[in-house]
Amino acid sequence: MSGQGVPGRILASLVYWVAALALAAALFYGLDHGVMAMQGLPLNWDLSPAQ
Amino acid sequence: MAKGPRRSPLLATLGFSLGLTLVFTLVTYILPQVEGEAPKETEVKLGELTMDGFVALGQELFEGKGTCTLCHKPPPMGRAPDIQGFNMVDTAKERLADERYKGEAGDPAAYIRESLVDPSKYVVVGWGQKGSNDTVSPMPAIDKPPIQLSPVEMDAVIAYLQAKDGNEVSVALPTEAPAPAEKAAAVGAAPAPAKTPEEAVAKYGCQACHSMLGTESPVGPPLSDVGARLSQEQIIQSILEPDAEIAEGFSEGVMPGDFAEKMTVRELEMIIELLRESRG
Amino acid sequence: MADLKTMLRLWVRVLAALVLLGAGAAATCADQADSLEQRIAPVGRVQLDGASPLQPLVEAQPKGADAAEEPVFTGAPQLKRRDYPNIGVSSRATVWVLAQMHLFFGALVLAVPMFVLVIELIGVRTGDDRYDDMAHEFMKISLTAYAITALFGGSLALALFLLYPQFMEYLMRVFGAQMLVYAVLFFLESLFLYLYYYGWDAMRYGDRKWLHLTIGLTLNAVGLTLMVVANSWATFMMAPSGVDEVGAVVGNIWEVMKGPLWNPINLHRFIANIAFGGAVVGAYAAYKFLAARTAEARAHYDWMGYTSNFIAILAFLPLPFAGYWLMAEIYAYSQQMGITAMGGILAWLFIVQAVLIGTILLAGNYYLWAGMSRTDGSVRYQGFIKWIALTLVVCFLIWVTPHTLILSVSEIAALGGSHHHVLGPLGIMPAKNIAVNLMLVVTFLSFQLYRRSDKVATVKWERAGNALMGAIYVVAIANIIFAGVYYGYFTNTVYKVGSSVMQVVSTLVVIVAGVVIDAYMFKGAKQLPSKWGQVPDRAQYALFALPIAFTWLMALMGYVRSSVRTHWHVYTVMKDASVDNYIPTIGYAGNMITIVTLLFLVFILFIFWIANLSTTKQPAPVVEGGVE
Repeated sequence: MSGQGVPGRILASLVYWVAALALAAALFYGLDHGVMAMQGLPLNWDLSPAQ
Repeated sequence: MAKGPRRSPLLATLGFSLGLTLVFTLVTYILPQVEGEAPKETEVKLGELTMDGFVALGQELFEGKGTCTLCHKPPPMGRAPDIQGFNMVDTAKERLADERYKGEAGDPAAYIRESLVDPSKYVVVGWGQKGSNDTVSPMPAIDKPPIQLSPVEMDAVIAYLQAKDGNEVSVALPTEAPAPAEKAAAVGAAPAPAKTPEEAVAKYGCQACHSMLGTESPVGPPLSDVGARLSQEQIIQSILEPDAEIAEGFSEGVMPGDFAEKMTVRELEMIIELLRESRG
Repeated sequence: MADLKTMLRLWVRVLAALVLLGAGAAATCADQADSLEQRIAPVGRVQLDGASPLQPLVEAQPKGADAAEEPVFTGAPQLKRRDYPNIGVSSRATVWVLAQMHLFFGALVLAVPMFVLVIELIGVRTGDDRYDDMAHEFMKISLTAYAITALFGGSLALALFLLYPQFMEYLMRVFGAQMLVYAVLFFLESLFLYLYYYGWDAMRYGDRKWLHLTIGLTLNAVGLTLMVVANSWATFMMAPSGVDEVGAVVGNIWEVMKGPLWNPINLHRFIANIAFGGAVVGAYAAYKFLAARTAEARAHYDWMGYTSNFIAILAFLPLPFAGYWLMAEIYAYSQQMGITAMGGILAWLFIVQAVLIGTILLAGNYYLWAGMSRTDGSVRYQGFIKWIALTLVVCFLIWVTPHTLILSVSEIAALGGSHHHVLGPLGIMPAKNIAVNLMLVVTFLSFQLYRRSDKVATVKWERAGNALMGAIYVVAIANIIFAGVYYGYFTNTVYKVGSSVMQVVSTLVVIVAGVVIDAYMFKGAKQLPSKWGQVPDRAQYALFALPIAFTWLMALMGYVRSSVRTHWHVYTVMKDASVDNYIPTIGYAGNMITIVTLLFLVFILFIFWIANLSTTKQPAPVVEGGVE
């Protein structure tokens, strides 16, 4: 890791990380809904039980 | 980097293995040392039994052989309603009044007995088998293996559940000749033959599924007008071989096929007579 | 490690082949089974479902009551205490030791040829003779163990017939001709095992090598069949099928075998055997490593130990999921049996289980960390280790927190089922589920870091890939904790149970994503030099901790599996009336388990010694001239 302090590099890193986190969060959010729905336990949009 | 002769690892590895094994063994020593006794075939001297003794026997069964406390325990650990936590007589009254109740018990004692042998008659909301929408109970029938309480033992449990909250005990003390619990099962369960048609109908639980004698049930075909629809032979066949012919809209295999073994000739005659006269 | 990737791929193929073979065999018996679904429905489940809603209340006497009046030829014998022979020592203890020893060695003998075949295949593919030599060396252990397996199997059968004659007579009646099939399989197993081992050098190259591989595949097919046949006896005892309520046989042999627990046990034992076998041969490699006098030998046994550990941990990771399935099926079959296992006295044993699995995970992780010193590239990842170690220790402590706190003697007396009302919030399942899943996730992280330590990625998207991998770890861990805390403590039971599946899936996603991302990211990566043999001696003790913990664990869980039947020989069908029909204290069980583990250790050291002996040649006396 070259933490030289070049603003562009830091910004690029930040963008990568934010994008990756958003992607992973979306993936797991969908997964949670899918896994629970498959067991007949639907969830609300905020992940609280829908039953 | 060739090395010289090395010490044999036998002692070191053996020592290490022994030490590790010892650690695992020690873990088992610091845990509580409890034995799980097999249920004792208790020989209760029925003649000498007092009501207090009977209640105590019930509690013993509840916590021991009956294995009730495996599931019926206080939240959050319970896997079933916390029976010991509430007054079962009051609770039973509420449930009998509940429209979800499917059984035919008339009083709390009968309700408890019914829920022991056929737990699905009333399933407390939230405790049903997964996916059954609280219509099927996960509880095993207590009179069947592996638990297999005898009727006397079930009475003792009922007596305990009534007495623990200061309710009056309504089950009768067993009075039969002293018999080991297992024999008592066979003796206690041989039912007296019914004397009237209504008694026979109640005895075999016909109203649980059929609409008849003023009660309603959607499970089986209604019988209040059966005399107009079927001949005597067809009625007999429907009782003794229920699956020989199935009424439209109902399924096979629901009605027990063993009434031929159970009914006395007199009971069968009375029921047929009653049904032949039911013309709607 | 390209070789390990190849190995993984071949693994999957061989397993698929084995499954196909097994399925073929099963299908031949299965064709008529569907129509008989009703009859094979296990006894217990029929009762649980309450068969008919019409059952009148008065019919309260057990069905067996009238059957007992006339002589019963078909039902299970109902024994009294005096029916059991007394030989002075505890019958249960005798059978316990013999059965467990038979199972240990049986597991080893069945497991080793499975990965040996895979290693042999890799040898053929890569043309690297090291693989072939290693596979051959592993087989030597299996061969010696085979004789010992048979020895204990024979003693076990003898002891059972001697000490539990009526029970064995009943089992013989139920399984009948299947016992003959078993004998034939046993004969075939011997045949192929000897052919495979002794034919190794005679069929080493070219077409003959493929013949040899075919023999190996057949050996594994026979071995697996042997195992599933033997499993059916154990699962019949737990959840009988194909018999009626009094134990009379009403189904054919297929219906008897195919009980509800048969396949869960088959899968669980299949995976666990591989982990166990890998751990044992790892100890062999560690032993040889510590005794090695040359750098070449050290390098060889370091590599062998690494491969064994890889096999053991790889097979170990899916094991909790197979165990979860087995437990779920036990609950589905009989909730009472499930609760006996997880909520009664036996529940305490799961704390010991946590200690053992914790030991396995710590040892496996430690070995990976120590192994990172083989390459200089590992400095990049050293910083992670302390966090992984911290997570492991914290999760381990949460996991062993007992969920039942006993405060007084009277409560101990009541432990037939009742738990204490005051429960540490850490003691119940959601917290433990979080802990277990996090331990698996960070163990995979160790594994992934180890795999990365000797490589430098050259792909352009390295930073994006790393960010994605990191994000998946972060979100998965957050999701596991969220699911456990939110659904476990703040919603109802159904969602609580459902959310554990969510956690397991999160863990699996991490593992799958890790494998996939790394596979692409390190394609054509720059390889840093690895120095085999350059590993501290103390790392070898981790390779010893692994089989010790596995052996102990296997004995423990086998004991739990067997004990859930409580006072039944065959659950709900044949009562155990012997003096030993109670569940002993945990300390007693611990002693028994330690005895069998140590006994196994002694026999294993003997096998290592024998394996060594066969390669030791006494120099010929000078005066007399050689006999050769």
